[in-house]
Amino acid sequence: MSLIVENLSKSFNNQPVIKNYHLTIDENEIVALVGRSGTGKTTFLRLINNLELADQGTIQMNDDSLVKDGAYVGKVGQRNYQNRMGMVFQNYELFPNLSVLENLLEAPLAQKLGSKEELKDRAMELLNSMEIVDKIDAMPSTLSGGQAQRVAIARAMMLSPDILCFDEPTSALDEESAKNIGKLIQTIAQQGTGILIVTHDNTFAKKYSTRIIASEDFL
Amino acid sequence: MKKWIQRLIPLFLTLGVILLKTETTQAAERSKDEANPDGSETLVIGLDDTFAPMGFRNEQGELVGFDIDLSAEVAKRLDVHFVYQSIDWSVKEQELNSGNIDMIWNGYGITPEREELVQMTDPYIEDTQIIVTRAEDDPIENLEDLKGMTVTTQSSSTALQIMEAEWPKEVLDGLDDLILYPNYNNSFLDLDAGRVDAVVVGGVYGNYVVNLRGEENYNVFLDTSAVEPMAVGLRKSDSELVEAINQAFEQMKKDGTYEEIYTKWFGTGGASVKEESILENMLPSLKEGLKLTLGLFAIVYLVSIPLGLLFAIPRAFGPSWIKALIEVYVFVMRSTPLLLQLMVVFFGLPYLGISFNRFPAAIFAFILNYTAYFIEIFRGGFAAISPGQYESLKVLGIGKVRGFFRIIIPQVLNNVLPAIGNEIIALVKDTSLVYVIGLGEILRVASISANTYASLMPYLIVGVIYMVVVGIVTIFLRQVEKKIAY
Repeated sequence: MSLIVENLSKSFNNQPVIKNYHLTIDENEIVALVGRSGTGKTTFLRLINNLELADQGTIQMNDDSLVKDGAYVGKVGQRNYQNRMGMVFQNYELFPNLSVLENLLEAPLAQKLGSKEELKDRAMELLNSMEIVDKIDAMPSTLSGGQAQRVAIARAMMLSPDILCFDEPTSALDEESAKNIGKLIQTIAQQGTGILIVTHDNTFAKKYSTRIIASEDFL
Repeated sequence: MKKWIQRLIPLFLTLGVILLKTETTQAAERSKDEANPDGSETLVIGLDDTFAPMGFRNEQGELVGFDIDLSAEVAKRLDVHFVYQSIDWSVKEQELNSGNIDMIWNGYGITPEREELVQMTDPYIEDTQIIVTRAEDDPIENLEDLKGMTVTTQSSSTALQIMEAEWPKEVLDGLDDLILYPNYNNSFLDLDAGRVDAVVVGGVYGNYVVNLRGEENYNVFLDTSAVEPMAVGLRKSDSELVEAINQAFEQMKKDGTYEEIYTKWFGTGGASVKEESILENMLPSLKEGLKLTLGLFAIVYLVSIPLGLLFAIPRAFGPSWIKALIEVYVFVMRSTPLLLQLMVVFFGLPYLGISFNRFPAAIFAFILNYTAYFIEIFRGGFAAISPGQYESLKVLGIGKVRGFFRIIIPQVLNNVLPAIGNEIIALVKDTSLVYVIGLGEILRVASISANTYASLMPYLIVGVIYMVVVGIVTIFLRQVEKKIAY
C-alpha cells in the first residue's frame, strides 16, 4: 500500500465536493480518475498534493501523513509526505528561465538531496530513459508539448516519488504522443511507482490504467 | 552576464562622481561665501539668467549685466556677500517667500500686485515699454491700432501687468488674441513666423533683442502709457536691508558710479554679446547642464527601479491594507503632473519645515514619482506569472525565498523589461522639468542661449544631445534584454 485516503471531505461555500471518500493506490498500480467537469477531479488532485486544504479525513503515504483526521502535520512532515508524491501539471509548469537540466536539478539542490554531480547523473539517466537527453541544455520554450511533458515527468521523478499524479496528460497531445506517454507511464509503474491519472480521455484511461475510479463517487 | 555588469559598474561610478562634483560645486558657490574671512553676511539674489542686458550669461557662462555690476557695487558698500541663484521667473515670489533666495534683482518692475507680495527698494532704473511689429506691416501709431491684432508677451511679466492696468479697456478687449509665453524669445520667434502681429516688451530687453535680430526687420512703437520703474524685491520682513540698499543707490548716483555702470550697459557701443559660434559659446554651460541632467537621470533610475521592485512585492502579495496604502500612493503619484510634484516638494515642503536644496529636491520628487510607475510595472510583471509556477515551487519543495529569486524574479524582469525601458527613456526627457526649481539642466541652457543669441540653434543642439543620450540608453537596454531574455 502506498497512498491512503480515508474519510476525505472538502466543501466550497458549504457546497460539498468530496464527502467521506476512501481510496488507496498501491505501487505498480495505474489508477485513472475519470468523470464530468465540475465533479471534483481537480480538487481531489490538489488535496492530495497539498495545494488545497482538506476539511476532514486522512491523507498519508505509508507512515508519512499529510493530514490525519482533519489535522495537518507540521512543516517537516508535510515536506516528507510531499516528496513521496509527484505531480505533473496539465501545462507542465516548467520554469521558463531555466534549461531542462536546471529544471531537473532545482528541487533536489534546494532540498540538498545530493551533490550536484550525483544529481546530474540521475538527471541524465532519467532524460536518457525518456529519450530526450539531447534536449538537456534546451530552454523550455523551444520544446514541443510532448518533450515538455517528459521533462516535467523527469523533474518530478528526481525526487523519487512513490506516487506520481498526472493532470489531464493527453489534453495537449496528438494520438502518437498520447500513445508514447501511455507507454512511458506503464514503464514508470512497472519500476514501482504508483500512478494516478486525472483525465477526460476514457479511451486512454481504459487502455493504460489498471483500475478506473469515477469522480461521481466523491459524494 | 557578469561581464557586462562589470563593465557597467565603472560607468555608474563615473556618473556618480560627476554628479557629486556638480553638487559640491554648487554647494561651494554658497559655502565659499559663507566661510568668507571677514565673516560678513551672505545673501542670495534670485534671477532669471536670460534677461539681457540686466543679468545673463556671457560666452564663458559667467553672469554679467547691468544688475550684476550694480549689485556687486552695492555689496561692496554694504559689506555683504551676494550669491546669484538662477530661478524660474514665474515662481520668483515663491522662491523669495519660502526663503530659497533673499532678493529678486533682475529688472524687476514695480507693480501694485508685486508690492503686495514683496517689499520694493527705490527704483534704480526706469524702463519704457515698446511694441514691436514686423517691418513689412504698417507701423503702429497708437494703441488703437492694436485692435484686431494677435499680441504676445511674457507671462507674469511687467509688460502684461501694465497692459492690464494701464491700457484702455477697449484696446485690451479689442485684441484678437493675447498669447503668453514663458520667455520673450518664443514671442519673437512667433512674430517672425507671422503667427502673432506684435510683441509687447520692456524697452531694455526689447531693444536689445531687436538689435540682435536686425533692426531693419522690425518697427518699434514706444508705449508711453506707463514707465516701468525697476527695483529690488525683498521679503516684507527685511526692511533694514531695503533701507541700506536705498542708501547705497543714493550714494552711487551722487558719486557717479551709477552713471559709469549705466553707460557700460546702455551707452552707445555698450557691452553687448558678440554673436560668434553659438555652440562654442554654449559649451561651458552645456557641460554643466549635461552633468546635471545625466546625474539626475542616473540617480533616479538607479534608486527608483529597485524601490519599485521592493514595493511591488507587498503590493502583489501583502495584506490588503498594505496593498491599499501602496495603491493610493501610486494613484496620487500617477494622477498628478511631475511638474506639480516638483513644485510641491520644493516650494510647499518648506512651509512644513522640510527644506531641501534644489538638487536633492529634484532627486526626491523624481524618485517619488518614478518609483510609483515602477511599482505598477512590477506589479503587472508579478500578475503575469501563472499561479501554476508558485504551485510547482511548492510541490517540488523549492522553498519560497529560493523560488522567488531563482524562478519568479527572472520571469518578472523578462516580462517588464520593455515597459521599464519606456520609463527610462521618458526619464531622460523628464529631467528637463527641473528648470522650474531653477536647476540649469540642458534644455534650460538651450533656452538661455536662445534668448541671449535670439536663435533657434541652441534648441537643435540640445535636441541632438537628447537623441544621443537616448540612443546610448537604447543600446544598453537592448544588451540587458538579450541577457535577461530566455
